[in-house]
Amino acid sequence: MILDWLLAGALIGTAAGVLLTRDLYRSVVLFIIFGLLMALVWVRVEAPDLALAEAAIGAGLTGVLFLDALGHLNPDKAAAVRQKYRQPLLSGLAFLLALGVTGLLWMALVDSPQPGVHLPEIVDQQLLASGVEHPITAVLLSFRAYDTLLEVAVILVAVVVGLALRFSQEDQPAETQVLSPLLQKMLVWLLPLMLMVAIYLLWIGSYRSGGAFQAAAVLAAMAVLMRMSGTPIPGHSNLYLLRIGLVVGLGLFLLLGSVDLVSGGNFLAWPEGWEKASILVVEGALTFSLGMLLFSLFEASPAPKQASMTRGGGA
Amino acid sequence: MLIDLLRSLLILVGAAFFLVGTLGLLRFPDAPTRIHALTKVDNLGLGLIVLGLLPGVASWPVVFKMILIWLLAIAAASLAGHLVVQAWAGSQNKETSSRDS
Repeated sequence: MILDWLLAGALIGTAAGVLLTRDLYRSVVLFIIFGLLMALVWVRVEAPDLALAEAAIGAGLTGVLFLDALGHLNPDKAAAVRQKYRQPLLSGLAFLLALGVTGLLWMALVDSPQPGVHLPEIVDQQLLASGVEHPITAVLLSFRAYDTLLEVAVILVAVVVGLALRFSQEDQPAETQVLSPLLQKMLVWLLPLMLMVAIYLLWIGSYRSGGAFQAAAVLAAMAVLMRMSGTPIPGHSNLYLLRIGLVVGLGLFLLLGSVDLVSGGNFLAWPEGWEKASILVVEGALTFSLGMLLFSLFEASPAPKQASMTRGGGA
Repeated sequence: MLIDLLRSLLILVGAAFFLVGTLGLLRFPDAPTRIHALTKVDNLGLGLIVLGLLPGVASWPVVFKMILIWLLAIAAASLAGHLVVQAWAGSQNKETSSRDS
């Protein structure tokens, strides 16, 4: 109980810190801490799946992207932008807006309509029909597969735009390499272990916490480590392989999701009797593609304006 | 009974090490000394906590996983510490050379 209050207090404190601090670097570090605290909160409310995703993507990968973006920002320009938001009119308006949203959220919380159906119960009843034993995987890839499909599509579009901007730029990709013999030696041990963890996370997704997104985050972290340490990534410079890899997850998702549709059934209803196999294949392909997508976001960042060594160890 | 006492003692001492490590992180003056506090003290604390938790674990795979977590944390901490100090030394060199010129 005390722990919960401490967590809630720390969460609000770090959130306020992220927004109020004048130093952008401090703000990003606080954001990462906020993500880790959020992961702890998810653990406390018994949602380990969300905790894993939050820690890996919310705090880890987003943190790396923010730190990376920070290295490209012109300090003067950033200060000017912040100066702009210090204008009383703008900040007053923002305050009123925030107050309004808070009020609406509060009303929604106090006046929440009684749910006519008890969703967890329905999920439990239908779990057998989905082909997997873990309720969250069942919801993500069977009952609400449409949402997951669109999520993946949104990430794919974002990465395609990012890569298109990347290729249209003249400067070479960022060479943010960390030269350290210790790192190279350690990676020989760490990379196979990480690959194993990724496959493990994917595999246990069918009956426990884990799944494609979590496994993909580990894969992406592997690729980032390899990239930064100068370890060659197989097929890294092959653009055709890149394109195939990026879309294979969504493609297989659509393809297998259409099988039932073609034979007169519903879109995204997995083939009768092959539910578990379909979900595993789609999850496997999604893991690979999402890993590449997340890594591509990192890879698409432009070369830093001034080479700052301090960013090296962050990833 | 005695084993429970021993376990509680191990976990409490482990937690105390974490506290001291965090204190070091906050109080020490520069990056190398802070890393020293974080990587050495915290990993010893983690080891003690793992040691304290082990007797209560029923299955061997979990025992193996917990020891593996400790070993990985040690490896990751030493590697991260090494990289941060390397980056710190690089920026330090740059500063002195720019001050000289």
